[in-house]
Amino acid sequence: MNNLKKIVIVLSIILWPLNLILNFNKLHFSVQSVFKNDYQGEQLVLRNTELYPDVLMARVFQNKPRIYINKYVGNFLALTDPNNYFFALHPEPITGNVNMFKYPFLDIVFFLAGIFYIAKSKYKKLIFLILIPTILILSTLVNFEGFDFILWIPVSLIIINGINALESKNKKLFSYFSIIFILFAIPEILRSFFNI
Amino acid sequence: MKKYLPAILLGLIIAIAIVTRFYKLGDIPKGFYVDEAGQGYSAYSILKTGKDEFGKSFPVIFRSLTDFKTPVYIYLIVPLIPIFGLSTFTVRFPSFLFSILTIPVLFFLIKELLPKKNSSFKVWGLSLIACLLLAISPWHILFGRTNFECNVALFFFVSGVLAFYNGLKNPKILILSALMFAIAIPAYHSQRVITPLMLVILFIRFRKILLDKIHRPYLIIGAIIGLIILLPTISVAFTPGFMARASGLNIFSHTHQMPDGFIASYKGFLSPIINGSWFLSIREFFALYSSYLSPRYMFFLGDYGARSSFPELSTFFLWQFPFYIYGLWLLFKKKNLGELRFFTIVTLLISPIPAAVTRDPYTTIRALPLVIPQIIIISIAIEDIFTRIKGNLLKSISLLIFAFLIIYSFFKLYSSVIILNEYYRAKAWDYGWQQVTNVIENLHTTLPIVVDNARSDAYPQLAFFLKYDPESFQKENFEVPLNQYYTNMYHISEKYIANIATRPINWKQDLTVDQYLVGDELGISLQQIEVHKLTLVAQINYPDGTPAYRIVKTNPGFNQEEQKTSNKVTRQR
Repeated sequence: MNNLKKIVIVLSIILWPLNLILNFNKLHFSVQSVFKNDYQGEQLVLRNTELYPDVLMARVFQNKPRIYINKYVGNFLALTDPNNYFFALHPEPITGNVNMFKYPFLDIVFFLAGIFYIAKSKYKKLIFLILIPTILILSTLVNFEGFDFILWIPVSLIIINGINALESKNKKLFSYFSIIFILFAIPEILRSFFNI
Repeated sequence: MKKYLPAILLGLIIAIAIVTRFYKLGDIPKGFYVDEAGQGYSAYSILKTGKDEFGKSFPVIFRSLTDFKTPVYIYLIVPLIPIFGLSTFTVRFPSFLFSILTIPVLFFLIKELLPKKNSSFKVWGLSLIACLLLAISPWHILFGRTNFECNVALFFFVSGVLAFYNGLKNPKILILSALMFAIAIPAYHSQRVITPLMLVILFIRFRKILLDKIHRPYLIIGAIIGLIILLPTISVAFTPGFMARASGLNIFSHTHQMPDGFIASYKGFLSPIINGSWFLSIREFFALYSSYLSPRYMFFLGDYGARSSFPELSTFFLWQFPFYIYGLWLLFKKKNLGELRFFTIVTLLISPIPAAVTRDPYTTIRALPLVIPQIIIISIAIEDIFTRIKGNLLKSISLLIFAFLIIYSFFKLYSSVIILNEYYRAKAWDYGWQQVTNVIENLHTTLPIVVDNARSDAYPQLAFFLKYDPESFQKENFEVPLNQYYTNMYHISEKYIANIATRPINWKQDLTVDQYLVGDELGISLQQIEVHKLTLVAQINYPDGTPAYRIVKTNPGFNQEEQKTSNKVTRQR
């Protein structure tokens, strides 16, 4: 493994643990479930029910289970959103959360390549074994921030797979892109120390 | 019968599209937004005088409240006014019409782009599924029911692409393609970026065919025609009016706002790196760009704007999420989609660019062309699953499930577009001005009327609903000299429509004059009515029962008396 690739891998995966350590005291680590009774949500459903001309239609589109399903789906889609990992959920971060930067944003290129060539990864079983159940479980938490660090392993493995795949496809292009990547990754890592 | 089945099904899909867009068109969304009224009145003014309300003959871009509006939509309204009259229906009709026309265009485009070696089931199936999904698409329906120029622009863009591909076989059609693209560019702001990009990409890809002996003459004729159509737009392309929209919202401009992620507390020597705008702006661009392709925005969050979304509904239905993921996989992995694969990937990648350079998060108005590739991606997945299912029973079950999902989506649309939108979004759609003008007309008064515009301008709605004579409006409301129409951004918020003046209420002076005052709940509160002994003439409420506007009559006798007493007390002190 050449030095450039090593630097790229280190810069690629160091940001999340670094930000976790630096922001540890800001994280809540609450295990409150999304399925906990939501009084306000239920009142809104009751109010909306009265707007419908038909009871059946009101029941279909305004019901209590939908409140909790929506929360779960919202979390699931946030956990599967690339903006969560590469852009701190910008442009619509979760209110009240730290919304940490987890990977340098140009890592998205390696991440997408990693998914495209996932079949070639020797860790594909491990990746899916951690990724899918973790996302399904974390989605049940009102605030998954902090707990989601478990995903650092599979996501980093996908990124490393992408780095390996792109390097093996075109070494010259990989070198050029790596220089741009390093140029953009350094400010992101430095910003972690000043953005506390 | 089997021969005509695709045509029958396409007809049915168009019928569904008409139902979802035409039902209460003009009445729902309840209210009439200021930009809609402004465009409607500009069209009315053009029809009556050949000039817009500022006195400019046939403008290339239309001066509006604080920016400029694209011209195509306004000129499309003009011939409709003699047919349907000046109404909310008329102003929204071009959106409806072109959103319907986009459906058959998409059908023929997919059919054209799919390789001929595919089975006819695949070709018809995929085209019909895409059309059906577009017919029930919340994103496309929203802009097909309201006055948004983006939908008209989308039609011309997609038609341009279809004509281009047909033109490769029949070169004469290249002229039509040039015509369509040339109309798309001035039709909406984002098409100023998307269409030229698409043209460059298509030219590079098909340069050998386009530059051969057969195609070259038609290419040149098309380019000349396109250029002639675009000449007026080019002539104003560098004026402040034309650039107003882009410069105000641009993420690369930091005159009014620091870039996202700027650490204000850090001023050290590393500032050019830590807070470097080169770094922050590029990161923000990619963050915004990525959000347009993200399932979280597509299937859950949707557009944050109250007028560019429906309550409890995102840009796509949640059930389409797994199909989108699978469709993306197929799009990049499978090679049997031919030119459709190229078109879908290119449109998917270029469509978010103009939206991603503006500050607003996930704006579906600016990114509307994205609806086409994303619908195609979902359709590819659905069609692929259908073809993989073996056995008549399983096929029937899957068809039933699909039919159920479509019916569910249809009712979900009714729930969000008609029921919830009407109740929750009336304020966002400026509900109430039609009712205000009805009251004003019934007053039959010559007394002055002051309409409070401290929070939002209302003169376009008043002029529109009162069908005020545009010639009189032009005479009474001078803004800038006509030679500075595109360059001078000066805006006068005080406007006069006969005895109506739109300006902020000046309580001290206005109470001493016998006149009517019109304002929203903040402008004219119940407490002010009581304190100033105003006569409440009418109160217009939103559908949820909260007050929208109040029309009151002043009581100068009482207020002059009160002012004298107050002056006396001050002097004695």
